[in-house]
Amino acid sequence: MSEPIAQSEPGSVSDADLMERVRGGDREAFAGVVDIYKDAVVNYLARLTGDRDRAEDLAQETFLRLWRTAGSYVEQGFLRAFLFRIATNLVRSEERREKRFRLLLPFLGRRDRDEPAAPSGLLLQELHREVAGALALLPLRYRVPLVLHEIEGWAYSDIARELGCREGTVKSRIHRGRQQLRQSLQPYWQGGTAWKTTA
Amino acid sequence: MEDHSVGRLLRELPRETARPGFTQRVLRRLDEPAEARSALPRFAVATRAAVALAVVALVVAGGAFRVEQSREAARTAEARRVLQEIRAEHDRLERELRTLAEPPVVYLGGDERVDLVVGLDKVPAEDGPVPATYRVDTY
Repeated sequence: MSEPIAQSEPGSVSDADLMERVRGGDREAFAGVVDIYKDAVVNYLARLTGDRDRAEDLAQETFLRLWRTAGSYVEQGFLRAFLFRIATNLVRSEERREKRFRLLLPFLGRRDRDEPAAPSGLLLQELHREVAGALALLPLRYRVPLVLHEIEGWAYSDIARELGCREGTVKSRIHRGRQQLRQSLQPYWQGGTAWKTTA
Repeated sequence: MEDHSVGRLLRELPRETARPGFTQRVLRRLDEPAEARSALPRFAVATRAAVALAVVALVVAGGAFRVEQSREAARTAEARRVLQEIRAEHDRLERELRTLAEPPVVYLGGDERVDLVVGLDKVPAEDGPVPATYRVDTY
């Protein structure tokens, strides 16, 4: 299930070569890095935020930060992990700002951010929307390892290294994340028939 | 629902991909100043607007407070002025009352050494003088 987090296309220029050129200000090489990792970063962010548009915005910012911090990147074959770390930090910062912003909302009489628009009435889409929405509401400390493991297919050891904690901690957080997700989906689960559509 | 079901649900989520032109959009933003490259342009604008609104609200509230304070001071000054007037009026009325309360006297005459005065309050009522208008036989 787990896939290696370092990724280079077979026969293509390696991450190390590309990043070496990026460090020298080579925009073409940078475009190559963006092309290789844009889908992975957008998908990761979409699952972390539960919002496709925010994911796209944050993914752009992730690559811009990679460009700016390319000098500090140490090649160890983990460019994907490096990008995901930037993306995670962006989400963390955003949620912190959002929390502060929510404190102001009662004084401003502004509606909170709208829920992601529901897709068409198809049950499968409805199920995906429910799952993605419930996932986005998990605390970030559970959400990040859960997404990395279940969706991105990272091994526990890779996640532990990336998050700077022990493997046991990663497993525990993933377990708690699953538990909370199950509880969140329980009402929908008991009342709906969406499960059958995925079989 | 079991844990593995949750994992399965998560893995079955469709993979999102970057929209067409993503790379070009990122490259275009490389030359933007760092300030403009906010991670959350809309959110940052909303936050700044919220902060600005909060500041405006505080300023307005402070201004209203100051206006209210100055109104209060004006009301106090007016009340003091009215109180002074009332006290002055009260003193005047008291003086008048004191004058009116003094018994009436009739000056009968006198010289440099003596004034001959009859205090009407000393004259018994039944024997006292009666104003001419009270006497029917005057006419």
